[in-house]
Amino acid sequence: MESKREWSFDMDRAIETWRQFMSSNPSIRSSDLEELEIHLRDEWESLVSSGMNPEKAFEEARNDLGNISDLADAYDDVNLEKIFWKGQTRSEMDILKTTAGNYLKSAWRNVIRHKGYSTLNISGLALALASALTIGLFIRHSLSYDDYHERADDTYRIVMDRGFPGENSGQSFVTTGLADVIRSEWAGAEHITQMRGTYSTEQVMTVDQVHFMMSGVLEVDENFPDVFSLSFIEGSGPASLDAPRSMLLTESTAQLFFGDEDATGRTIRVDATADYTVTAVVKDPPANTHLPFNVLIRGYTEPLQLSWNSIGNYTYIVLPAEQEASRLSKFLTDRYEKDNPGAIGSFSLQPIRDIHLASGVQDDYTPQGDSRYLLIFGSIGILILVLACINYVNLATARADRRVREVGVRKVIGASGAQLRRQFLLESLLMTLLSVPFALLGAAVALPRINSLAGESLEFSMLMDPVMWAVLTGLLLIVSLGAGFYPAVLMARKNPVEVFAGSRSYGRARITLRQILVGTQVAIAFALIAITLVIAGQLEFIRGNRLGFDAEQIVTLMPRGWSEAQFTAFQSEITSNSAVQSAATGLPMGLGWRYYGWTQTLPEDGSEVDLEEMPIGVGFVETMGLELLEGRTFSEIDLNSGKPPLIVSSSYAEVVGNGSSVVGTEMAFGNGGQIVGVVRDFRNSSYTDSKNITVLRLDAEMTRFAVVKLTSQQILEGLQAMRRAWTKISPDRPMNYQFLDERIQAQYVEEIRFGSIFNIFSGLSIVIASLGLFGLAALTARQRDKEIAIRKSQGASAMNILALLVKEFLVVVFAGIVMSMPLVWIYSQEWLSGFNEHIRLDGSILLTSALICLTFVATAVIFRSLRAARANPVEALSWE
Amino acid sequence: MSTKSLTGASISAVILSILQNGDSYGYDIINQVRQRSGEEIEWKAGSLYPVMHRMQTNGWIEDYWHEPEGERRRRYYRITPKGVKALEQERQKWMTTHRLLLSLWHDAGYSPEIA
Repeated sequence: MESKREWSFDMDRAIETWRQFMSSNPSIRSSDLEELEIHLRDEWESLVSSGMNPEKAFEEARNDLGNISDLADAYDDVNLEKIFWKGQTRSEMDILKTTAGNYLKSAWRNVIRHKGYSTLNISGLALALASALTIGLFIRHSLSYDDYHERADDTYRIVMDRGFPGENSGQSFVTTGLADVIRSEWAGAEHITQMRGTYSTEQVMTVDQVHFMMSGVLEVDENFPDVFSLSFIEGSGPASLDAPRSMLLTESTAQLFFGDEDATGRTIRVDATADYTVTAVVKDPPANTHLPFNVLIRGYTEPLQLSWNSIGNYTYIVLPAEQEASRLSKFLTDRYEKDNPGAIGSFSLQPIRDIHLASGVQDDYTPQGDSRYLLIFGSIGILILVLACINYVNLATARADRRVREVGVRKVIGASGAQLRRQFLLESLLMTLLSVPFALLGAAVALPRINSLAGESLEFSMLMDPVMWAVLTGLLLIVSLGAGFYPAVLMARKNPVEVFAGSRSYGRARITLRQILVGTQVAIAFALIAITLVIAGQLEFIRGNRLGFDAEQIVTLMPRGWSEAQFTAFQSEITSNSAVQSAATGLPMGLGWRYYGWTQTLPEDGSEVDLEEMPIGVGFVETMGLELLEGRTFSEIDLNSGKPPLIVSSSYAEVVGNGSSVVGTEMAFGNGGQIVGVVRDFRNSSYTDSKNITVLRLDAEMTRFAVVKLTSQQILEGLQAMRRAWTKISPDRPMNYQFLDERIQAQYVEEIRFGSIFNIFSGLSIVIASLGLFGLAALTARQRDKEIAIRKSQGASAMNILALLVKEFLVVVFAGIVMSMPLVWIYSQEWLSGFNEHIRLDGSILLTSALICLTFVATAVIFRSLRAARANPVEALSWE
Repeated sequence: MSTKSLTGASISAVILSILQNGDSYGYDIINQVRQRSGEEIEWKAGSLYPVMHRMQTNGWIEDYWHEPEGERRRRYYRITPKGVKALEQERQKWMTTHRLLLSLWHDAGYSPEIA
């Protein structure tokens, strides 16, 4: 009976099942399988004849052969060797396919076998790649400004420097009539064009009785199309601005005005004063131009008189050769000095492709970028990639002991170190490749948000160009090499002895390396957090900073062409309304606008002082809320007195007065005059020197600019009163006004953008670092499960264990923070020094950053460690 | 454990040596190794066959299917002239190591038998 039961085991069926299973793996060929089967039968017979139960003997013999995936791997490696050494039997392509295929199969197996680990790695890499791609796009976009113009390399903007103090001392709004001077007195220019306008200034466009408030209106001369590349859709092409009263629209503006009807030939009334005829429609200018526009209207129909002190035109020039630029600069500078002996002034030519990143002027048509920001974002992109690579290295090495058997088996059966390195590198490449779709998805989702936060116009489609593909490929190679290199070398170096000894893989040396890596991550995260806080603090400070005048409820107006009497009529009408507090002519402050500057030589020591002069009307000082320190302000009586009165800033009083009062002294410079009062320094822009040496001159005829102070609770009423009074004087022209505080805010748009982008990426980098630290904590906790279990069985509490696990991380975190502090300090000081007035860098920012950093790390580490600490020791100990 | 790592390094030398004494098949090779090592060394079939494969691609051994009287058909391996050369190199390597160890152990006072 006994023997019958024994023989109920069907050896042939068992073999058949095994065969089928084994043959499912293509790495094991049929001849190999047959050989293995015979071996299996031999072993089985031998075991049975020694008295073993046949079924058990089969199991034993089968296990002796090893499991299918190990066998398949072993054959794979050997087959690969064959391909490398005896490749003549196959075509190169087959070899390549099989080689890559085998490596890939092995790598893929490892990716899906460890899902949690792979998810951590892939999400970290995807986030980092998405950030790097976005930053790459941003940089590429910024560098591509204005390179689409056909003559981009030969086109220059004329910039004038009148020696105003400060970083951005140049002005691109240059001398009126300069274009004609160059044409008539300087041979060598291919094309010159001049224009005026400010992108943000809105003008009224009336189309069939419908009014549109349009920004981006440029008044140009007929040469505009010769200098800048336009794609004509409708109309008469480059000649379309030849006729006076002609007008050119962009495609989207034409669509707005006329829908799908033809735009050419239609008439549009501009600012309710003049009719223009649309002569052409062009494609919208691309986003990467410093000169975007919606409407070009033909101006400059009369020749302009040369007037060095009257500015108001942008002048662009196309030159046949680069060296002509310096020749022209010299000509213009000489010409200026000849006409204005003793005045400071020089001209230079700025290549248009440099304008976006190195504008260097304050009166750009639209706010421009800053190459320093580009460098910073580039560095952040690299730091984020470094973080992701460190994550990979940490996770891979922490896992090394779990793979050490795999490596050992491969080595014993003849895998070479190089093969193993290839294998592990391929694994990191695969991981990186797998993260690419997520990275692209992430970038696609993030771009609109980044655009709206940062005021950029990046599009996902920009990624689809060869340069970006090359960048992406480069990133992939760098990241997979950067991430995979160390683990690959480490793994390949593993001695097979350790495999069989089952020794733990982490030795002293590696812990040190891991600590360095984690420390570096913490240092990077900390630096980014701290700098984010410094930037945020400084931006907050700028916005709330004392300007030296009160910009609230100030409305700025440009009553062009009014006489002094007209303005006085306007002024008296609106101030009779309680909604308006006061009104005066004068250049609004805080916008960095300059009127006139010269140098005064001090009589005491002959040193020179740079002065700025601003023409203002009666009541300006009161309207702007400037603080009078000494003397008096201007009054009506001054208008008829002989000597023009002047009010100076406190810095002037300090520098020129040298201790004694300057009130009552006469000024022989500029147009001369007598100082009647001193006001506290005010800030004309964020960039000017903290010492603002300004002279305010009474000039009631200068009515080009005006400021009106409204009563805070009656803004709307005040604006209505102004509009009523305005219409009486200029019935055809709508009143164009802006709130000064908003305009001042708008000056910081670049800083605010910078802050927003910085916030996003530093946030991301912290997330990436936390992901890695979380994974690392998980792996190290698991490696130490037994140690923890033993400690617990000896009576250690969960808190003791937690403290043990967290302590090691904390030491590294502190080290990282301390390492990065000096760099943060130096960099922050450097950045802050670009502002005249800035926050004081103190320990509280560093402390807050350290706390934020610690919170993130502690959350990541404690979360996993807690699980290990709480685990039942019996489970861990009964593992094997 | 050191035996194991030595095994890793010596595996092809051992196989070639066995085959030099006569053609054989995998199962038999494992048996020979077990017996000759006084049951100290036990090779796993899963490691042996792939290595045999590689030695074949190196041109050291070649295989043929053979069915002796009364036995099952098996894949036999025989050593090639190239394999003999390779074995000779291996032999010199191992002998050098052997002599080195012997001389070191001699200085340390061990008798050759212990080695």
